Amino acid sequence: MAQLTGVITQPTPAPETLAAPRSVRIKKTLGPYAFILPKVLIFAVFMLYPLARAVTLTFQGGAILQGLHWVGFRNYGKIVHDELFWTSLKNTVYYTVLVIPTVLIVGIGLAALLNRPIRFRPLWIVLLIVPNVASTVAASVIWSYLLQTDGGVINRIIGVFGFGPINFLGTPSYVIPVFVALEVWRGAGFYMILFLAAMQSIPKHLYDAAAIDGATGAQAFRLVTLPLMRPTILFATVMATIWNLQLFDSPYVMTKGGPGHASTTVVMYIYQQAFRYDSMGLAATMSLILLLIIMTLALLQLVVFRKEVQF
Amino acid sequence: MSVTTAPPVVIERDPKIVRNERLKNAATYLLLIVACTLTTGPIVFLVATSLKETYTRTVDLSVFLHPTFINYHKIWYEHPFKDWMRNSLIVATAVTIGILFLDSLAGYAFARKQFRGKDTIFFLILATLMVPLPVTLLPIFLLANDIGWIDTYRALIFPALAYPVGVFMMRQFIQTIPGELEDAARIDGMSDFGIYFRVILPLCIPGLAVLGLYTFTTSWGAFLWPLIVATSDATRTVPPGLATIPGQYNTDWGLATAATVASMLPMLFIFLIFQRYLRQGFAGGRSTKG
Repeated sequence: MAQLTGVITQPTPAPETLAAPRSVRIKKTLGPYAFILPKVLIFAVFMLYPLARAVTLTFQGGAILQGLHWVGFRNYGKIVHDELFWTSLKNTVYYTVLVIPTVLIVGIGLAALLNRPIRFRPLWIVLLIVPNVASTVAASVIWSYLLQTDGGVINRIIGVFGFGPINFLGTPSYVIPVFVALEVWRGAGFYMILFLAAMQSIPKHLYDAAAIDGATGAQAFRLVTLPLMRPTILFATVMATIWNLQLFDSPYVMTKGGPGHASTTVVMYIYQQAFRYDSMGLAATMSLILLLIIMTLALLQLVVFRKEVQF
Repeated sequence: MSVTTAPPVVIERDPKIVRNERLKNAATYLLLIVACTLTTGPIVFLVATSLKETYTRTVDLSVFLHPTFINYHKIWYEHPFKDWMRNSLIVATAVTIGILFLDSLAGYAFARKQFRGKDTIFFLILATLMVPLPVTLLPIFLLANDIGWIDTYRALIFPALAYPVGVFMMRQFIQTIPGELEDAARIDGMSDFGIYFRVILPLCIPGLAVLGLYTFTTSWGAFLWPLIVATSDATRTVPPGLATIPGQYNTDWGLATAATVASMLPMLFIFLIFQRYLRQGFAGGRSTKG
């Protein structure tokens, strides 16, 4: 505020109102566009154009160097019969279905703990959010290190309880849960911060009112906190869905999609098709299908939540 | 404790309630300690291994008493890691500055100005949040290939500037700033751009801090696009570089852990500086929602 008053009380430049009315009018109508123009230009070149080009790419085949050519709907036909695409989609959906409720519940739980009257709150926050400074690739290296079959930290802890070493990354049924654990470890702090901010913006008097009505802490949480956090939970759910359906980094670093195809995800398969098998058209078609899936789910979540908000 | 703050009602300190509160507090601290052990434990082991001269299967935490920095020395001087760090710093800084500038400008117009097509353009930008990376990256790769942008900083920076979320964040944040301040500045004869630069931007600092932190983190961690387009150590950033260190069979975990720790240090530093803005910024963004 101090800064602001400084700005305002500065000697004022000559008033602009003396300018010709026409130029003022032009300024008034063009002004807003000048503000959005830089973003819109970049957005057009690196978002809108690629989106349109992605659609045309789905009707093309061939390698980049030999030149792409039109193939009609052949890419779509190929995908229908591509078992590996459906496997990768199944893996991705399985991962997403596991990770979203887990990471959101852990995030809300941690935020609820931090929202209680506790000492050293900033310290707890820093300790809980520390994994967030690891990029997904760094986190993948960390977990590869922790999960080594031969003397990894986790296998040594399991060993203390008398269990034999487990080859987590080499066992098909364990790899996806490993990625879930990794994402919860790395990502929960982000959701925690988001939810904590939402909880702290809830007016105190609502809790006082609930207490007067004889609500226990758990009841107040269920009847006051959760309903008021709905917009934030909706936002987090939609963003988590969009983000997690694009799982690529950890399987690429930790398993390369294996063992077999147990951890091949959609984006990983797209990457392989585009840059290993040089099938840009096929890769574009799969990425467009992923876009359609994400859009459908995001809109579905918006509609369902909207309905629930109106009691 | 929150119960006792209700002022008009005299709540008897029933011994049962007091005991209950104590129990709850104990449980809270216990859960926090468990959670913090889980979040920091892996990093403690990571750092311990990086401080050992040669990697052995069992890591003793006593290594903290007599650490060696030989692994850090190796990755810095006998390894392209230094180049990756430089590239990541250049790219993430450029992307962050660019996004803060572009998105605060656009966010201001969307929050305050009236113009034709405003809602349509805003909705269009926001809707692309749903677009998964590969959809646009494949055509951008073809484009970069055509115009000779493969293995350049430009190719790493510009596509990231199209990302939509900052426009939304800045619009939300600017809407929380009272309009009277701008009116006053306008009466004082300040131009539109002057108002943006000297009134709005200074008040946006918490919002800019959050967006900047978010953008820098995202750019620092970006993997798929650099993996595709940064084809040599001249532009390769940390994540695709780091991914090459743990090989399938013979991993030098001393090196791998040291590189991982080193890759996290700049982020840790930035996080500690900006963490006080985190809650403020998010709270500011949220209070505008109905």
